[in-house]
Amino acid sequence: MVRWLYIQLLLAHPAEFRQRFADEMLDAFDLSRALREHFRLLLDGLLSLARQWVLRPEFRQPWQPATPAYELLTFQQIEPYKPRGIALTEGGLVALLLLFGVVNAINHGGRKVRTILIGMSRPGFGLIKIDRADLEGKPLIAAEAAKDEDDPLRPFARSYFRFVHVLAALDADGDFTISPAEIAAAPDVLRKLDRNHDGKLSAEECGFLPPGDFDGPPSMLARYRRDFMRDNPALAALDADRDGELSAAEIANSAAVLMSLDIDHNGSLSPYEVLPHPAVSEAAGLMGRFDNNDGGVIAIQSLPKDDPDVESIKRLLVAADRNHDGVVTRGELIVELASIGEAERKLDEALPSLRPQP
Amino acid sequence: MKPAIYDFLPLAPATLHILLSLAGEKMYGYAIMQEVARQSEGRFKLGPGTLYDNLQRLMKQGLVEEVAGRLCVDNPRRRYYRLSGLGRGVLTAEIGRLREVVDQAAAYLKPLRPRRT
Repeated sequence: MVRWLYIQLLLAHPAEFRQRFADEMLDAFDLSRALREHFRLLLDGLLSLARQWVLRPEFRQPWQPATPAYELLTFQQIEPYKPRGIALTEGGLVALLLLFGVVNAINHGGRKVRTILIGMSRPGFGLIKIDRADLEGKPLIAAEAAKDEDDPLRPFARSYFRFVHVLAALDADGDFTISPAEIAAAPDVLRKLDRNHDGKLSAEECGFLPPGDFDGPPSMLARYRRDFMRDNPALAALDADRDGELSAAEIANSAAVLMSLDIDHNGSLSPYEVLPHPAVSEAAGLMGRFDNNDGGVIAIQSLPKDDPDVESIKRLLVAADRNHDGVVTRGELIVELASIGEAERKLDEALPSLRPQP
Repeated sequence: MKPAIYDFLPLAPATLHILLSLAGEKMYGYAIMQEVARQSEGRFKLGPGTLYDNLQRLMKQGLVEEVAGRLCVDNPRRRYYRLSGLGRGVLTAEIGRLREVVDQAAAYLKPLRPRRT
């Protein structure tokens, strides 16, 4: 009985080990006479069995059957039956028709095929209880969206985001708001804009479009690039060293920099926080119009006499020339325009009835 | 690449006893078991499972090799094993290592011996 058990243990060993050593192990077992010794060998056999299966996988070769192939147990068909070809074709057609019907029903959303609905056709008892009192008095999501569409800044934001590639790339969901998740993903997103794979973003890669018929000196084009990077708040913030391009370090730090633009501290950047200040845009327009020698300043005395707006522009420039040196820098112009805008805003708030109504 | 002798060190007790048993002459499995028991004065009993598991590994590693042919006419199930050159080198290195351990242990334990008064 113990010998039979020992043989079963040997048979349970991996094939390679069993074929190689089972005879010798049984020989050693047979040479042991005492019953106590037999039990010790049984325990030893159990340990060997566990060791072989658990710790010696490298010694196990793919099992090679010693018996001829025709004696192997193989999967067989229950019956030597094969469907007719026409039956297979008809079955395939029926399956295709059913698939087409289901897809069609889903696509039409129950409008044309009202009887095919998945779920309940009318409100009733549901597994998830909804307290409708919580919903009363709150605007629906669609209403919020409509309200958003009424935002006068939205059309401008749409054009602006399309113009500044960096903002378009950051605004992954196209809602013209850079969410916290989009801010966090900024470094990866900006790296994807690096078309020439030089590790940094040039003004062109950020969205700068050089004039098509530009034939001026390269220095002027470089100045345009710098202006582009400076006049757009998000780009100006990202371009920390003001060299007109975003370096690898600036790209890596972009998420933190963008967070600094979050004026209202709500975690996301609204169009109000990334669109350029009107004063900046107006200053850029005036510089482009009157800075004829590309010096970065407007000389008050060299304003063109034939310009119809020359007098009003001159008054503006004189007011902007805080240090009275006869030239107005971009910074002076922005400060002056911003103060005018602020004064107008305060006047609107204080005396709304005096302002002309559109 | 041929394995270095010191890659096999230190040897497990069962491996050491098997190599020691085969150091003198070729042996079959049961004789190895008896020789191990004799060497350890009965304190270390090697079962067939442990023996052949070790023999399988030692043959794969090239430390032990089977003697070709069935040498025992009375019992054709028996196979004989012997140390290979590599196995002998490993055994020698292990004995040297153990000797160093014993020497160091003796040096450390010497001051701890109680003084006779």
